[in-house]
Amino acid sequence: MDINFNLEGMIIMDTIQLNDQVSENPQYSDLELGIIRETSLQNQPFEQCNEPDGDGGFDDCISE
Amino acid sequence: MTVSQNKIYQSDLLFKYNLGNHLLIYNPVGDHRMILLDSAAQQVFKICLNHTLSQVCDHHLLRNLSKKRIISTVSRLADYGFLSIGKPAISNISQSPHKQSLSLWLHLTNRCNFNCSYCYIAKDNGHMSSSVMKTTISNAVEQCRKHGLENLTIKFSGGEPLLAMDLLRETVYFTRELCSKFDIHTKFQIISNGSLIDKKITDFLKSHIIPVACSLDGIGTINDRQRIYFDKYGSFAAIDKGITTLLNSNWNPHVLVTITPENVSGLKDLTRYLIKRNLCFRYAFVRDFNNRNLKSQETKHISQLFTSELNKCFDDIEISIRVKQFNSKVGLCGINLNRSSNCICGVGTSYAAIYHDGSICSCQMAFNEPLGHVEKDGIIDCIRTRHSLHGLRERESNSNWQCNTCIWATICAGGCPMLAQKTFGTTLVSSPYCHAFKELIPRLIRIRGLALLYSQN
Repeated sequence: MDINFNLEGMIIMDTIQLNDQVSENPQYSDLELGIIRETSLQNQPFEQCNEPDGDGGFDDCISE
Repeated sequence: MTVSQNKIYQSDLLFKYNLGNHLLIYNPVGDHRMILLDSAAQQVFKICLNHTLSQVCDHHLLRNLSKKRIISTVSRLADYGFLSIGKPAISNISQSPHKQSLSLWLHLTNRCNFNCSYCYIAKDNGHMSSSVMKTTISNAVEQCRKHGLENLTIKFSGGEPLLAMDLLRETVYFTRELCSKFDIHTKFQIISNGSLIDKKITDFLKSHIIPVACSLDGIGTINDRQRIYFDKYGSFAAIDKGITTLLNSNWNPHVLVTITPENVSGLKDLTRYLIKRNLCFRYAFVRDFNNRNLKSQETKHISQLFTSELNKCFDDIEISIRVKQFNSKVGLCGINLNRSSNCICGVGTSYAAIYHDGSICSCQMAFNEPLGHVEKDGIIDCIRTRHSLHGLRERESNSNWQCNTCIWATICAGGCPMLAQKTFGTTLVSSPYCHAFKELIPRLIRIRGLALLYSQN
């Protein structure tokens, strides 16, 4: 097996002919791979609670 | 050499916790801070360590997974910054870039119907005039344009800002109109004691999308030990009524809990009250530096006491998440798990407190140390060049900052810098509550991981 990555770590070539499918047309979603992910943009696990912008709390002084 | 022969490394600064069948991994830097891996994905992740991709693909423990899936898992984890291929990942733990925003504590009035034991605002009948408000907002907008900031957040505060409702309304209309001319995005928040909230006020706040933060420190008499009216009468019933009014209008408040030696024994009951209502809330430790010597041995004891009680509360929160009774956000002292910073707040960069007379201050805890005035000084110019927080600018490069060697340095960032300054005369020290932060931050991460896990199930 011979696999190359570009600078971002994405698979771009594979001698066993998997990589085109993997890199350009991913076959697996995160959940299918067993990955649950939290980012600031998606998968917000919390009930919306009138926070200013989800940036870490409606504290009495916190701002960034 | 092809990449398949390169070693795979885990990022160098990962925190891992087992949550049942899932592995929680928290990366304190980067865009993707937290992931959960099921048993198959965590098997791949663990075998990756110091193996090449070829070795991982051929590993006997992964024979039940297709090579395509293994490669996809490795690739995805590398994309998200939890693995690196070919060379060890060295995390850059410098602070996140500052948001393109200015946030103002707008001190509408110095009046308050409460006289809470730990309040740091010296209250009187002073209040902001319409003229000072307009000068302040105009100043802020001009400064946002000068410094290229796109967002302006106004926090209505005091005193009790609902005692200045007419000015609050006027501020909303004036700010919206002015900011719309310059494409500056405006947000409002209100920090209230909750006692004056009624249906009419709630309707106004909701219709203008003004989130509400209310303070509540305990149930019944526990709250009333420290949150009291001037005639010493307790405030719990009034606050509870205000919170209920907001809930009935589906305008859920964010509850601020201040922990002191007087109310810590009731923290668990209060937590259950908040869980039952599925309210977002945050705990904070008292910053009563006027009356208490935070350098003392007593503070260490208090910090340990707070930690012990909070651990019990966190136990309840974890259980309630697991049984799906609670899915709101829980915070501690402004700690933001999504951000790397050498300062926990925007003091000195993106945050200012404007006193009712127009004085510009670094923070509402420093109203006695004005840096300038809205009539003659630019707000951002002022807070960035005149603040007196010793060492704040040099923290990142200063080996004398006590937090430099702490793994949580960019998460809690030494706690409240004003508290450090007032207590020790410098911000190059760790928080008086350092012990508590070190013990409780991992628990915050676990709670967040659980919330993420159960939000998917």
